Amino acid sequence: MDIPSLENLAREGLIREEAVTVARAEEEKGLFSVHWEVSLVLYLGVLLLSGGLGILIYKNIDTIGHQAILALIAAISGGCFYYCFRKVAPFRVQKIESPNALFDYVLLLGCLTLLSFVAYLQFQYGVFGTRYGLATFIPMVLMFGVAYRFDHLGILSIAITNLAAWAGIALTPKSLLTANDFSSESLIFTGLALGVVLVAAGLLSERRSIKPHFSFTYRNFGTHLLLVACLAGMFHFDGFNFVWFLLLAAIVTGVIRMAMKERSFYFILFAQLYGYVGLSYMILYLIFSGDGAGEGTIFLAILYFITSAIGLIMLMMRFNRKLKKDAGV
Amino acid sequence: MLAYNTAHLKNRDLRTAAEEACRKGYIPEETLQTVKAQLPDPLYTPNMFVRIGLFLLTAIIQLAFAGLMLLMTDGNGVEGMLFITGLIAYGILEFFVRSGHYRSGVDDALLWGSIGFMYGSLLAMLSHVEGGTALWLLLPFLLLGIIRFKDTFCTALLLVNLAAIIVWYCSQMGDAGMAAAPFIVLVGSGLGLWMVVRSEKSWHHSLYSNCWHVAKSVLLLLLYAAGNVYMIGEVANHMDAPMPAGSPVATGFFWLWTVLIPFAYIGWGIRKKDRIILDAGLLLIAAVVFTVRYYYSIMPLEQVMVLGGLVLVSLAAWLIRYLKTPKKGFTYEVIPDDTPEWAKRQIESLIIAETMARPAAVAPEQGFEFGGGQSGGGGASSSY
Repeated sequence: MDIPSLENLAREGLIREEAVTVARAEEEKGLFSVHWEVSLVLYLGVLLLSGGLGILIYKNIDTIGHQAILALIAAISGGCFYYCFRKVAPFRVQKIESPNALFDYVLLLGCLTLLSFVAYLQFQYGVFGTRYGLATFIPMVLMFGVAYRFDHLGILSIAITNLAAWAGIALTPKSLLTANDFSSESLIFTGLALGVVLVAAGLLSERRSIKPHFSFTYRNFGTHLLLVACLAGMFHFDGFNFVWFLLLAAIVTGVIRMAMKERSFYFILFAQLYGYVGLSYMILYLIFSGDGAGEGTIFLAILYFITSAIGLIMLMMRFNRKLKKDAGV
Repeated sequence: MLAYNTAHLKNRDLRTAAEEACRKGYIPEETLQTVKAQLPDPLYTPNMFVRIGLFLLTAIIQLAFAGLMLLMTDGNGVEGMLFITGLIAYGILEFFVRSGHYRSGVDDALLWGSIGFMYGSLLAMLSHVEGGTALWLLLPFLLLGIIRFKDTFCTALLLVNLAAIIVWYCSQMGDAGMAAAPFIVLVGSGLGLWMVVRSEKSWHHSLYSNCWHVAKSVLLLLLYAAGNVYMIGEVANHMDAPMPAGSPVATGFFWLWTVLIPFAYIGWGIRKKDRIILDAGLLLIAAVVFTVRYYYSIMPLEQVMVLGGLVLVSLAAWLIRYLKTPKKGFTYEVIPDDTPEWAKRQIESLIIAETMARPAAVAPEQGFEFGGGQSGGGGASSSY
């Protein structure tokens, strides 16, 4: 708390002297919150423990020790879930608060070890045979179940990435652009379909008030996937890129409308940026499809970038003004 | 000196303080509204996401404009054209700052762009410039960024640049110089840190407080890095100098430094209830683990991970229990700030998805890999 500023305000008669005294006394009691520091330690611990166990079992696959490790993993997972089932509030379709700070991470550890366990069963004993679809489908269903029962956004995100993996798409924030082969047509269409499903799931959660706070997570994954798939379609289907551009424009408009309604700067920003990439691709395509890359066309392209970026800056500043009233995220 | 309107900057600080006071219930809502009415804040700082967008677009415009300038040359005088681009960018920056832009993305991009173009083209013009001269040449630009625009990135770069200048001069003095370099940087950043921490009361609420805070964090890291065994080796390697072998006493000192300083920071941070020092210590624990593992493989990585994980989870669980009721002024409760809790939750869930989700089945045909070997383990092993 910025006490000198409060003193200044009091000196100018804008706030009462007593307010400063109260503030100073409170600050001297000075509770120092280590919430995010301890949470970080907890998060790193869970990350290391689950990752380390996974490698440990993988490396010891053919030794006698591996069954002991497997039992350990099962015990950890079981213990975590036992704790969570005992602590969790009864199921409600609305948001339920997490019972305590440890709970979220214990549940996370339980889920990660459960996933390792299921994967191990498949690897070693082939419980799902060669039906690899099933081998990813079961964990995915489990994760969705856990996310809804215990109300956990992180596990919902894991479930959604598992759903995407089941459909053949890498959907973690980093791998979306790097680990997918977007020249594959089936991937583009799967991406579109899955994107629609996720956005619909997000909208439904909100309309039907079934865990409405899950909506953002669904729509976040869904819209990114939709827009990336759309851009990929535009780059890939050479003769039809105008059709894809129209589709992109429609989605961008839709996302911006939705974002305006809930005052979300985040959705507006990336919808505009995806749209700008698409528009620039189309314009450059038109400019360079004429007489190749002469000096004149390069000049034209540069001029396009300068004017369009200035235009988009003005547009963004207008959106900012419109939404400024009561800002969201 | 500051390009921004200082009266408006001060108003903004006062308003922020009043907002926090209102959030914590020290002043009623009506008082906050009076404060806001009395202290106008016309500086243009858009929402963070808009700022990112404006930054990217301003960067695109600058690159395109540089392209335009290059089109006007016939291959000669490229450096001159780029320098002029930098000058023009600086002129536009001053214009936008006068018209009220403050941390809007536009001014950030123009500042870094103009410095980049001017410094880069200067280097290109003076080809075959010595390493030391190149470092000296950067200083005036960074000082401009700090004094006139109180830019935090320039502040961080300035301190790193000063350390680099010391190392460079030491490397010119042969083996003895390189052996002395860690100690000189160590003493220098230690003195700097001592001054910054000692004068904290006087800058904590000043107009340049953001730069001071960054300086404090960077000096904490520099002080540690100066004596870190891995850093010393890497820098020597980079300067094509032999690893400053030195005496076993020096080696022992650096190993002690490498291992103990982060814990000292944590203790210091807890004692002074100083978040920057505490967080620097926590961050540097990772550096300890990395450095030790780089030179000694005491046990296989996965065992380190399991043991480390167990230690961290138990430590955190114990802390949460211990701090259930606040102890000695520490609490695990969240003290609300201006970032809404749900936004933090969303970010947390994305980090979990990125680091912990194991999309093992993206390509099941290529062999079924299972948990741990992928992102979980990979993510951890890069930092640990």
